[in-house]
Amino acid sequence: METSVEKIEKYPKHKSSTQEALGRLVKNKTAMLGFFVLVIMVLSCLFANVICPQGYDAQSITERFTAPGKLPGLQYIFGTDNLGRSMLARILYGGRYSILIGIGAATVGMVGGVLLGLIAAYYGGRVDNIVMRILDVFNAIPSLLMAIVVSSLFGGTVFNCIMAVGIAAIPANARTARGPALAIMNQDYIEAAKSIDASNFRIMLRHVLPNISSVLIVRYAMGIGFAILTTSGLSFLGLGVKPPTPEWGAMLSGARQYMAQSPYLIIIPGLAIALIVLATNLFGDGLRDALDPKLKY
Amino acid sequence: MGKYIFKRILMMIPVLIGVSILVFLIQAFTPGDPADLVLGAQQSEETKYIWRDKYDLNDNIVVQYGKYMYRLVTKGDFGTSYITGTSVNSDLARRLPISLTLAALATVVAALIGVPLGILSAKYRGKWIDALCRVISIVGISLPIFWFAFLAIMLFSVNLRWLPVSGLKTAKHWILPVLVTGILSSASIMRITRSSVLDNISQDFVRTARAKGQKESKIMSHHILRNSMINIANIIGAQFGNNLGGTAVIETCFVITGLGTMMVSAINNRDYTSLRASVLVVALAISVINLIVDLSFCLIDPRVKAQYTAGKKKKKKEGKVA
Repeated sequence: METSVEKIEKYPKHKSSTQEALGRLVKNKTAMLGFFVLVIMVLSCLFANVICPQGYDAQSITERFTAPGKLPGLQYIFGTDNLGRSMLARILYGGRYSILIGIGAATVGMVGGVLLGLIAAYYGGRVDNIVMRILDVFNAIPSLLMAIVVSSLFGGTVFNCIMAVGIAAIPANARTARGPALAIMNQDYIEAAKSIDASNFRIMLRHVLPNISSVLIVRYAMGIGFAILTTSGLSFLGLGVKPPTPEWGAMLSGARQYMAQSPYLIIIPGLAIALIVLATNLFGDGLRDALDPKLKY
Repeated sequence: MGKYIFKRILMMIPVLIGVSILVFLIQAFTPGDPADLVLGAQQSEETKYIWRDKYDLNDNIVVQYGKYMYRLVTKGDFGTSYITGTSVNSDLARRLPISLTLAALATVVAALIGVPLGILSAKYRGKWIDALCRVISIVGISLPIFWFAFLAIMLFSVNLRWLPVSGLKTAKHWILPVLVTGILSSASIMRITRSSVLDNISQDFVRTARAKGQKESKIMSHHILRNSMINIANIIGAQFGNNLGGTAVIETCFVITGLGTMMVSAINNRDYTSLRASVLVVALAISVINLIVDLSFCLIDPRVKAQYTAGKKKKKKEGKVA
């Protein structure tokens, strides 16, 4: 067995398109920068209980409003808030919620959107028309407004936030999935699959979906950043995750009244949001360039 | 052309009916009796019944919707607020112009920044100016708008004291909200402009124009931009919609009494009439913007216009989405 493997190695290795795309992605410096920032942020939020064992709601009345770097020690590196709680701990624990909601909402929006888009493209005709008209209705309501309305229905918990932001993303995702899927539907291999009596479900999932996946992967990556941004906006309005849960948008909103005396209470959570969304967008941009070699600029 | 415009306006009607059903369902899905929320649960059933009667809340939801739509269509009445007991029309009339102006001004600023920078970025692709523009645009789409607004307030209002912190009393009050919204939404416009100019810059007709000795400035304006204009108009329209939908956030930051703050307080007070009215109005405004954008395609691109006048609407539509 070993000899035959060695023989094959001598010839130029055939790379699958996924491997080629990965190669392009790894060479893209900005995408890798985004990736590393993401990894660092996600890991430090995951290990928040190791970095800040005191928890996010440990208060110290004597150390309220300590500016970053005023006191020694890791937990004071970002200072403390109006209740003397470590900002670092709140950022790290809050990041768990932001990341969880971001990924959850992007997943909800992607699954819902892809299902709708695929069904519309696959069945075409009347089904397509009905789906598209319904999407037209949702399209008339901007996604942030949609998220506001949906979250107002159910009230602010993490799960409801995921649903609100996710549902708001469905129409745009459905359109993204439908366009390329329509083009795939004209391909011969779809007709071939139909002629051997493959089930509709199988054709959609095994033949159409993989061929539109590159668009969707990029969309998903960007969707996570967008969902984090929308969620923070919702929490900022008091319609998302409610304090004392340390979600970044909610923290920022709560710090408004201390804007003049302790600006770092606003700057730090905003920086966290901006950094994670920027990292996701850089990575998503790199993914798009890697997966779509036609766009070589 | 007139026929097309008429048809396109007719197409808005089902969308708006859909939106109205959607916003009407908000209340049906919300648990709890509005009478309990407004009057307090300890009130007698009779008082609650009379209160509910005033707002048609004792009726079946379909009947409620019918009555609501009848009043809306025939009298332009958006209903009575649960909280104040007065018509929400006056509130809308006061707040809608503020939000519309804010969104429109911000979109103009966004276009004025985004389109030239996008063109510049595409023209000098790979140079430092392109790198700078790309950094600006990707940072722009990543910043939370309320954070950007607070940073601007802290810098220009609190520290430098150049501009007022909140409200909309004078022209000076408008500067920060308009610029903050405009600068952030210019990022998307910049990205789309850049990519669609790049799509056209390597086309054969550009080479032909260059070969016949056309001036570079004219190649850009007449050949490349003209062909990119559809995408650019589309994103500008979309950004207007986004800015209008995002008024809740920006108005909360600057304490502006517009449509956005009306929605937020309506949600907090469970005042569904106000919420319904404000969402409907935003949807209407966005539908009108989409209509204008669609119609502008005919001005921009003679090919699009020719398709409409030749009556091949269906074919064109299929081609556009595929």
